[in-house]
Amino acid sequence: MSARDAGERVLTRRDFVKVGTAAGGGLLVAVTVPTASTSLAKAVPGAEPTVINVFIEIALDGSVTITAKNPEIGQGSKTALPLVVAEELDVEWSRVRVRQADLDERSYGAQFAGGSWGLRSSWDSLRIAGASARALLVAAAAGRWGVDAAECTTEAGSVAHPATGRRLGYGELAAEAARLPMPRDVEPKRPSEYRLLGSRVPGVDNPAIVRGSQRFGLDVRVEGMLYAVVSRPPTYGATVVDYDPERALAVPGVEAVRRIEGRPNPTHMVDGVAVLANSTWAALNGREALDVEWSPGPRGAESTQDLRARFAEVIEQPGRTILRDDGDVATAEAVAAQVIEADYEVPFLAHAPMEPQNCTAHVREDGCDIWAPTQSPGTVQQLAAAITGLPRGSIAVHMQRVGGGFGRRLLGDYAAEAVYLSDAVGAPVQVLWTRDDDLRHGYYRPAGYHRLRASLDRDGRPTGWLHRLVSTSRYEFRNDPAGPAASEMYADDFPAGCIPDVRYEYSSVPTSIPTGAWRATLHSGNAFAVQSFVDELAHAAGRDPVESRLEMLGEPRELPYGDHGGPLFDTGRMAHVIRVAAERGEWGSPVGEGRGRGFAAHFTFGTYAAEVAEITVSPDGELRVDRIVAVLDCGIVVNRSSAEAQVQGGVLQGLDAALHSEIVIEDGLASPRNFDGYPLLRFNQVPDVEAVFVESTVPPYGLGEPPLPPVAPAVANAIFAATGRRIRRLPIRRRIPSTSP
Amino acid sequence: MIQLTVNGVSHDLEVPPDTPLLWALRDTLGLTGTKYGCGVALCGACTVLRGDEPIRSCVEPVSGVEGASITTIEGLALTGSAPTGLDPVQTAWLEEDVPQCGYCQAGQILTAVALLRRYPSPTDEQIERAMTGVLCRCGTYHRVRRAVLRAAGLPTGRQADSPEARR
Repeated sequence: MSARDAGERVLTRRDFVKVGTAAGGGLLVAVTVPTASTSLAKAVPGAEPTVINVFIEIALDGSVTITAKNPEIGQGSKTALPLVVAEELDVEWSRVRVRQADLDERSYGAQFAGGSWGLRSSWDSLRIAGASARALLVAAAAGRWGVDAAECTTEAGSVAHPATGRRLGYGELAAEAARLPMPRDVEPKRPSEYRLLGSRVPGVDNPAIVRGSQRFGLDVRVEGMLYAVVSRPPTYGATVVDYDPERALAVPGVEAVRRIEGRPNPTHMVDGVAVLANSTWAALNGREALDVEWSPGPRGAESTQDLRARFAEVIEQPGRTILRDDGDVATAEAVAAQVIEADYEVPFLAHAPMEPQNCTAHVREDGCDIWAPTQSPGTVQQLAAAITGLPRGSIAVHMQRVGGGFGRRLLGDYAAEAVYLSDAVGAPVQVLWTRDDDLRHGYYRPAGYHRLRASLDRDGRPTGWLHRLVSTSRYEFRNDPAGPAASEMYADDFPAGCIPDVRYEYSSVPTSIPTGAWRATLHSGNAFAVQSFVDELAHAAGRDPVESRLEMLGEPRELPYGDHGGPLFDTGRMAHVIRVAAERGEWGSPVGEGRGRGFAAHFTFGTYAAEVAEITVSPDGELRVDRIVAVLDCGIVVNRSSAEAQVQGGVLQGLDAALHSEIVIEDGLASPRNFDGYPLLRFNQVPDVEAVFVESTVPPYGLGEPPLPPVAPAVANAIFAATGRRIRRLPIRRRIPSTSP
Repeated sequence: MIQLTVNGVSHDLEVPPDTPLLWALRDTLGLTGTKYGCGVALCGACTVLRGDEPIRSCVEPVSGVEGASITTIEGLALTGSAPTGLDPVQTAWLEEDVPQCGYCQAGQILTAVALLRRYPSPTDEQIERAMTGVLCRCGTYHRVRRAVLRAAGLPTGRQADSPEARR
């Protein structure tokens, strides 16, 4: 194993550790660590190469308060990050209280939930913080006893001196520790010493959640607050020409009607007319009564049907951006024994979190408070500053527990609306997006059209590989200087580096249909195309799909990887998860009539994932997914319970996308108005999901996204195994067509 | 004026009679534990109990529950039997670490409570029929099933994560 082990490095960073006395007289430890890797930070929108702070407070009664700096969106970061501190501090988890931080990037560095990045980016600073506090408490005890600190041990919130049997609780040492200089050498534990990490720890907010006392964004109540809903454009990019507020104002409870002027960047805020009332119900009725005249959007009545036709034209042209060009694909094709080509299509997808978009804001002369369920509070603050003209320092963003993010809440448009309206009416305002708003005015996972063409040698081995993608670039949609290809296609993705002649080409089709980040970004669609095609090649050559993947990966080695989860891709770690998945998924054993197994593997966000799907297709074509085995190498598993939950959840969301999900655009707007038009996976449709983690001492990478991409291709490949039908377009839907598309 | 009892407390609500119970609970009574998810009875996030019966508060006008006794997630613990005051379903939810984002969980829990009041030892089919009505986008369904079984005192089966694969 060449990746560094977690315990290898002795950390001597006393300059970064600040020690002080807490308000109640206890010990306060703050750790500031520059983020090591900027290449990873830049892969996530909003992430600056900056500092990360951890705050620990040890009170005189021995209780420990650890600040959680990132938004909690259900990924478990509010529990997992403090758990790392508690491990190094050697304190009982039951004595730990977790405090959610507000936005304060000067103190905490980047605060966001995205890119499966929370644990990875904070790992070192969390360990240093915990280990530093522990070292101070040991020094205080050693000083009091007049013994060498090296003779002391710590366990469950106390320091012991085994030679003399003496013991002092952290609370008894906290005040003294706060006055000591930071010890020179602080060494975090080795993974073999972990007691908490790797165990199953329930979410810290669970008690409040099951009692109904946990506050989410929509539960914020501010004195004098108005409830607002917004009449939204009938086609994307449309603007308000005129509106008549009279009928809306006649609805009892409605207090104001305000036009919202969209910002130049459509991910910041779009045009609308808001109805503000003294209750949500009055606001909803007011919106029903409102008359708004809209201009047509710049591209008028776009549709996914037209867009697919446009994709089919553009895919015939060489890509406008060449992301990778190793060797010479044309020559490889010319000398190939066989050339195989296949096209794959993926649709727009909505995030559909259970808590629809919302935000509460109170803008005053001298500042602003924002209660935002957001994945990116810094973005919210930036937008609020632009709207109000207030300095960023006067804009407080109070992070609320988020009822599902999945990438949608990396944008701040919903918060911009609340700020804009509060500023306009001079009162606190809560903006609610109805489910209709949330589904029809989302920022969707881009739709795409893939063409893959491979050259095979006489033994059926791939020698050349062309992958051309046409999609509706989300970076182009928001005029991002990174260019259209960024985060649509990844230059170092498999099989780059594994085949001599590889060419990746990308073109975008401009559209007003809004797009944004979605769980696993474009890996969600790209893995479907690539991992389905690998399966097609294996079958074309009469080879086993698992064996052929292992052969393509070749010898264990590290390849450069410049996108999410880089800087390296270790073919050996990938081969290992593939072998384990084959074993756990009983690959190669008989599966029965009408049934099939499919395999897929994908690397993203630093985590290696391989999955086996087991499905049944009834004689009349009805598809049932029976079981998915997911094997992951994410480095050290920090909290086994939430890690397992992320795998279950990621797999189910991937299955949702594989089977049902599709945002259809008609006449310039998404058509589904509610969950009947955008069905989500339900309780009775859930297969067995088995999560297997590879034992590892490598620092942890994320799990929020990596389990998702292999699901669709594993299911599609299983359908081929069972029926001989090849799925080349998502969603699959419940019924398998009788002929291949 | 519409009279109804919520979590054992009688209220006289001065809201238009067509106001959905959901918004009366949230905006008028300040009981925000009941969640808005879809507004048209498709997702179950807004589930509350009328007596022992689960209802979708987003489509139930307050005029339709006049005089009724409503239990919301905030009131469930008040009637609980465990030493903590929690309902056994809430306890099982904690033990199984069910929530991910947590937003749909009040609806999941109250639906499970209603199920177990009707069928104290539910069959798989009864569990499926009841719980299929409540959406969870995070994908907590496996643990919802385990928690329902645990609350009913039935075997929950093995954890979904196998022993680690050694490298």
